[in-house]
Amino acid sequence: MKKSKESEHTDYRFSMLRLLFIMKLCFIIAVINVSTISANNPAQGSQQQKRITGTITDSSTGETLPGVNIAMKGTSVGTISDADGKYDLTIPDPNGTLVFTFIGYKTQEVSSAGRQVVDVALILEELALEEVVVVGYGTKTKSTVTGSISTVSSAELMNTSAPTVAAALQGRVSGLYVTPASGQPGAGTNVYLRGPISISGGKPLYVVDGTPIEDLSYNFNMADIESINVLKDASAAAIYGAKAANGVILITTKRGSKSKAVVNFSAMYGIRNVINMPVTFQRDDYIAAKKLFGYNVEDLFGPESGWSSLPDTDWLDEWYDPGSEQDYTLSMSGGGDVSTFYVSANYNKVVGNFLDNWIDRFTVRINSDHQVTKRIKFTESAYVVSGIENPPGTPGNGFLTFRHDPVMLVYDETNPAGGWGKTPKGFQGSNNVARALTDMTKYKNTIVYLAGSLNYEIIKGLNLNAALGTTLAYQDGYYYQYPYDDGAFAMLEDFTDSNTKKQQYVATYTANYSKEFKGHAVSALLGYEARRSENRYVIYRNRDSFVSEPQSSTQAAGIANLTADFQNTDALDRILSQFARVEYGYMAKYLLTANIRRDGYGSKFGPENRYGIFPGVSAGWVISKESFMSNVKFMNMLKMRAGYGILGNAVGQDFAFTNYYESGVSYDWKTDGTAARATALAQASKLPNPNIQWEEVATANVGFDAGFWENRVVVNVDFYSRQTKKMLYDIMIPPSAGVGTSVPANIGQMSNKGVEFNIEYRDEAGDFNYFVAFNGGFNKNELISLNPELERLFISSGNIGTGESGQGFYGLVYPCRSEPGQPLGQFYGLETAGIWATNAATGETRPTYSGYTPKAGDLIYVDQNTDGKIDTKDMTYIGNPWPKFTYGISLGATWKNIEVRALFNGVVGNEIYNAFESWEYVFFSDYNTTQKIYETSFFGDAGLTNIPRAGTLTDPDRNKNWGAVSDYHVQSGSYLRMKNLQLSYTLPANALNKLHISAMKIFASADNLFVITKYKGMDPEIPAQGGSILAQGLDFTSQRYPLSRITSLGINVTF
Amino acid sequence: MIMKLKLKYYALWLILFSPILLISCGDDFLDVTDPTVLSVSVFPETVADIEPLVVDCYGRLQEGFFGAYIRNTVLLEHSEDHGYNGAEFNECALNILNPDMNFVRIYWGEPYLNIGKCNIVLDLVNTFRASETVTSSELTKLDQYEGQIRFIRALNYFYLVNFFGEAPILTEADKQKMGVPIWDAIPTDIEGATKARATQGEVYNFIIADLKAAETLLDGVVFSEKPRVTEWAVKSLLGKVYIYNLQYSLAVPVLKDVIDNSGKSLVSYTTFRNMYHGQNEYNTESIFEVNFTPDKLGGTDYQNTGNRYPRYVSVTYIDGAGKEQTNGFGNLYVHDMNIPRYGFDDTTTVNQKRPDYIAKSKLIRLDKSVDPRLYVSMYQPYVDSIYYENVWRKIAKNRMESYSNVHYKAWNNAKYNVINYFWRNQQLCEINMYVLRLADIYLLYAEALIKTGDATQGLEYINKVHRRAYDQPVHTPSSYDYTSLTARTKTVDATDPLATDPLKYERWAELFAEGNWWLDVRRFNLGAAETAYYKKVMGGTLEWNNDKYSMPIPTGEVNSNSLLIQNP
Repeated sequence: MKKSKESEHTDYRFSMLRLLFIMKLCFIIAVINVSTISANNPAQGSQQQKRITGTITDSSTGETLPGVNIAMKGTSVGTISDADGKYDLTIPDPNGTLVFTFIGYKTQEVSSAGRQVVDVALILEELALEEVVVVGYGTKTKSTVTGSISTVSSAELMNTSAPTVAAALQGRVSGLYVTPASGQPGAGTNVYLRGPISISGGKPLYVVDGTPIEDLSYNFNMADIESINVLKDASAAAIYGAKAANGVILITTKRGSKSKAVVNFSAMYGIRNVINMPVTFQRDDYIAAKKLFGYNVEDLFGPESGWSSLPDTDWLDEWYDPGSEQDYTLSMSGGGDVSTFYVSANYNKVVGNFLDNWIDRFTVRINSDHQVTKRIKFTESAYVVSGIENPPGTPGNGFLTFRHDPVMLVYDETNPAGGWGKTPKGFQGSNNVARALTDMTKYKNTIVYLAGSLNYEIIKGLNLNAALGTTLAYQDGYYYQYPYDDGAFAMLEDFTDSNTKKQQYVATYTANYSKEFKGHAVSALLGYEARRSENRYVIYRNRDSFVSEPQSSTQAAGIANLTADFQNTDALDRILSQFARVEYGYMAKYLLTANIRRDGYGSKFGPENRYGIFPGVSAGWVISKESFMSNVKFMNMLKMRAGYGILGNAVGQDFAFTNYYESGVSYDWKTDGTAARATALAQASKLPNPNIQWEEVATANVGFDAGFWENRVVVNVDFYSRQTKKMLYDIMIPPSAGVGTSVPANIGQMSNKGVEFNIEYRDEAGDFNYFVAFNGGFNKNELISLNPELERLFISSGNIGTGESGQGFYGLVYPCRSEPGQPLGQFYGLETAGIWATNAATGETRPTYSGYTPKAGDLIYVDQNTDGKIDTKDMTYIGNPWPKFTYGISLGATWKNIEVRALFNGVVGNEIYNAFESWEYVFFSDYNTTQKIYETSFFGDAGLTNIPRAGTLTDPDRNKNWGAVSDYHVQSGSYLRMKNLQLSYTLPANALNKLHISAMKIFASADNLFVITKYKGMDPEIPAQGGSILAQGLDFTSQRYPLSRITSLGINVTF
Repeated sequence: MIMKLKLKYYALWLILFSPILLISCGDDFLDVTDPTVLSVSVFPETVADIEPLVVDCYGRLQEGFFGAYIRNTVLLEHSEDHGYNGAEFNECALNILNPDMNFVRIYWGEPYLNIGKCNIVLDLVNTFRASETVTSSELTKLDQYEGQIRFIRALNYFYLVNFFGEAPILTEADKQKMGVPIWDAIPTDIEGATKARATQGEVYNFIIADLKAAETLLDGVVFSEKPRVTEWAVKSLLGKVYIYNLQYSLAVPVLKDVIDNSGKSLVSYTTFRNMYHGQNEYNTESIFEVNFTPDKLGGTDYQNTGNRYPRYVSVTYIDGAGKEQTNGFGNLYVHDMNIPRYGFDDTTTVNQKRPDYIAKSKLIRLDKSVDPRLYVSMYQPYVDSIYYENVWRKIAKNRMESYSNVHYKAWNNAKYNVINYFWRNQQLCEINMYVLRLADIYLLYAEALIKTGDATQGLEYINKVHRRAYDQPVHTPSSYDYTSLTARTKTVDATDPLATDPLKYERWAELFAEGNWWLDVRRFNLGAAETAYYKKVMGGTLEWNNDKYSMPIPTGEVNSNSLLIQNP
């Protein structure tokens, strides 16, 4: 069943209609908002009028600024500066205050009293010294921050096609190591801050406008982001306690300011292409190589005379096509004295490179702020995202499997069961085109985020705040499988309807008092927070649906041969917290912050262990404010910082502390061949551990921030030492105990130590402005201890065995080992010392592998214990998957109306286990392979080469050159990638004025343009296997959806 | 006016503060339980609640050895060879196993998981028995649960000790060699989750104790459901275990009891030939089966009540267009050396389509010049047919995926094969697996009699099984009878280790590809002789040393159990 092109078009048109509708809706809401604002405006009517003129310039360049918003405070009177930066405004009150606002610049207020001309030089937001930084439950000016915090502004994120917040941060935050989980549209990322947090992993905590949110994936409109602050050390993050150990990513979305409504529209369209795809054999080469490998090709493919008329299919080419990305955002912001608003609507669609695979989303955001009375402020954020995912149809053995046969047709009209090409003799894989196109799976996602807070300033400096945030997420899963038969597999008609509902509520109450007197600044915060989430998943499955592509499960009800299945899962999560913070500052020179949080976690830990206390303290000394620094001209700012804190890391399964009964393996008491399953229940195959408790993460951080030559050069440096204690891990227990294979326990300690830095340099020369920003982090990870009382001396992890039954070349091996004294997840296997050049001479003894004496062309394994046998006792550490250094380089330059920006990221000093390579050098089972097999020793006419023997069918690779874990397959993983390059052109303002357009920019952007690496695989960015922190750097790519290169064009218009 | 305004804000405050009332009330807020499962604190409430846990223990018999994983054993014992270069087939056929293999993990893990569930049931039975409110009918019920569960636990230990025991028990001294860890209760903490290997003798004693207890508990119990364990299943396994443990004199009365009093009898040859494909299950000969039923519930392979093994041994046939097709994966086919072992002496490999070959093949079926069980165990290419898509279709040589079958006879496996419908659409099929059947018991009884000095009766019981194969009355002497315990069997090769040993030959011929022969090879110490006979498999030349009698204990156990010592 092939999806017709027609329906694609319909989909597209439908999407556009929906987009237009949402945009319209957005405008209506905005207009209502604006009219409400004007109606509320207390200052109506005019007594005395006054005309003010002036010119607005950029404080750093002196250039005039067109499009700046000028408004009189407390009124709706305002204008915009013209192409030459000049304005002309008549105001109702001669002594009124003028407010100058412009995106990317600091807002300025100037009194017009006694002046006819008001010229203003606006300061770039990025260069603003008193930049505001969002910290937990509040904000701070950057100069008074004492913890380690990195900030990324919206300007840096503009026009990149990063699909998620985490992906957007790659290369931009020192010490943050981000790897994409795959190239599949909507795929997530693995994020490590300052190295692995724990043996059991951990995710960063996302907090959007004050509301903690479990996971920010493809569902977030990146254009709504005003800034991102990453709290990196414990003293800063301790206020978030239990879930903060892997860093806190605070996202602030855009909000309105008092101004005339500003409307912005941006559009982007890009093409995605897969890169560095392997090239497998086509028919003629395939048959020739198979013959050399020992297959009886006449038996498989018939007499040679007929070969040229056999099918010749390039399966990888059949599976992959160029994809696309598109993104449209329309936003409007503005406001009056009482209320301000920001509204946006966004449509984004990513069409993946694999057949019939895409994801899209519509989002609408309405943020508004209301100064209800002088002392009461109400703030609201509403965000709705709705989208559809059409996931790739389940390929038989992975997205990049070599299990395909060129001598097989994609389509075969003579096959009555679906018209798909059938497997020829000697091939038992599947027709992955059929799999992709007969799988009608769709996920419809709807998520509503609502947050509101009410702030009451009881007396000056004392604020009470009540905030409520909620997330309601729904997913309708639809799955329909068309029946077909491709020879090896017969897929049944199969229909599944599933429903997932997730609800999260967070209520936070804080009291905050701050006061300044005689140079002393004191503030205190008290807070109480409750978090509750409930997930529910219901699935209905029917194996004989009544109609093709049924839309609802009721269409299958009441049918005689109905076989249905039902599943239901619920999950509960409860956290209750109290927290406090005290801050003290003297003359903005000496700064001290202390905070503490107590968390109770009901669903993770038993009643005895459910509470954890997390303190943090930090101090800062702004040396540049001391009098003795006043003569130091080149350095305008210097601040020392130091902090220490303890965080919690709550990982692992819920309810691990208790046991229960779940459904068992049913059995049939009937003997007449008809199914009559008897109900089966079984105690869960687990060993409950009531003693599990919090992981504790203690971090000490020392750093300094310095600015030179009026902040042309800014340097931030942090040294840290982080100890993770009482690490929770599902340790293996003997299967013979009959209670499963693992149990969670607090078993060890780990250390991460490192330095991270950020250096920025910006300068200008006439019309030419440029900047270079370089950030990097060195991290050294070491597992300090595991629990020797439990005799856990090491942990084995990872699995590179791919292929059918999850095995392939390697079988079920664990190539990674974590052992005290070593970094986590080291590659562990055999050491090699080259390749045997000759067969064993008579009388010569060689260490044997599983009883086999290696011969010419086989790898020489080092017999570490010299017992004459190569086995697990000879294994040793053969590679480190963790980079010694991760870095990002950001470059930018503007010349008149042209701007160029580039972002590079890279890692240094890590290694990759290239298990994928084995597929490229050997015929395994009925898999295809590549030309590289000819490079192996003794294959065909080849004699001894520098590549080990692949063997043949009758003389197989019994030395496991390609199937044992050895250092031969360990390769350097260092790389430098050009992550993003963009070129933009801002149209001259005078050309736009007549169109009532205040600014227009067009741009071209390319993601993932090139990568410089010695790594021999497809891509050196290897996602952790199954997201596991203990299985890093394992390239078993046949299961992976390849990464893409994206080239796009876009436009950004401001009205 | 001001008051009104204030009220408005109070309302706002109330709205924002109300959630705190809803979602947090101190510690109670944190007292949550998993809503989708039954807590151990509330279940089971009654004696009847144990029944679904017993069902689960039966259900788990479908998951390991008797699930699709019997495929590894038929390769180890060379009943089958394989035509697929993957799925651990090569390693099994060559018997070069390593502790990382998936099937080794299954062979170890699934029985122990089942034993764990059995231990939970036994613990609950004791708890309920001790309660004051238990009624006498409930006590009866508890006895029945315990009897069934002890049998299932014993069966699991039986396979464990036979696959993973350090060496086969050939002498009393071998009982001191390493067996497997014995668990009679589930551990309660991590420290207590590790046990060393008991000796083989201790494991056998444990199994015997379980079976003797079950024998008493199930004495005279008749279940309406045929798949349940009966006292005869218990006694049959007990007799078998006595023999494996060299306790022949104890085996004799137990097996005699089964033969005389169970009411079981050997089925006719015709029924015998047609009892491996979904028909004639729970027949008069069957003592214990693992019941499979086609079942599309649950969707996945796991938690189904269908059999997956037939996929691997599916036959190759010729379809309407003259093309070779198979009704599954068709990975396994009968090892060529088994054909002459049944007495079929045609050495043709390349031209089995020859009309004279086919004519001769048909003739020898009629004159019974080969052992008729050849045709129970395998399908002969171009002679046999299967009924498929409503037409009888000729069976071809096994396709031997990836390999050339030119030099192979490649007969198709017949046991536990789907032969009368296109079954891939069902995915899972209803064919049951025999665990214990009377023919096995006759041969075990014969063995016990011979070992205890009654060779005459021993030979008679061997002949009873032999007569059925030739479609003769079972209890009456026939012309096909063996005349002595060293009579020449049907094997073509006179140097075949089974050539002059009717007892072993009958065990091989009768129980072919049912998962028994490997255990017999071990206890008869036939490893070297069988290797010499079979010589090679698709993946290479066979080699033998006695370490190959024991499977390596899987890595997961070795790495997590510091008390455990790996097999040599």
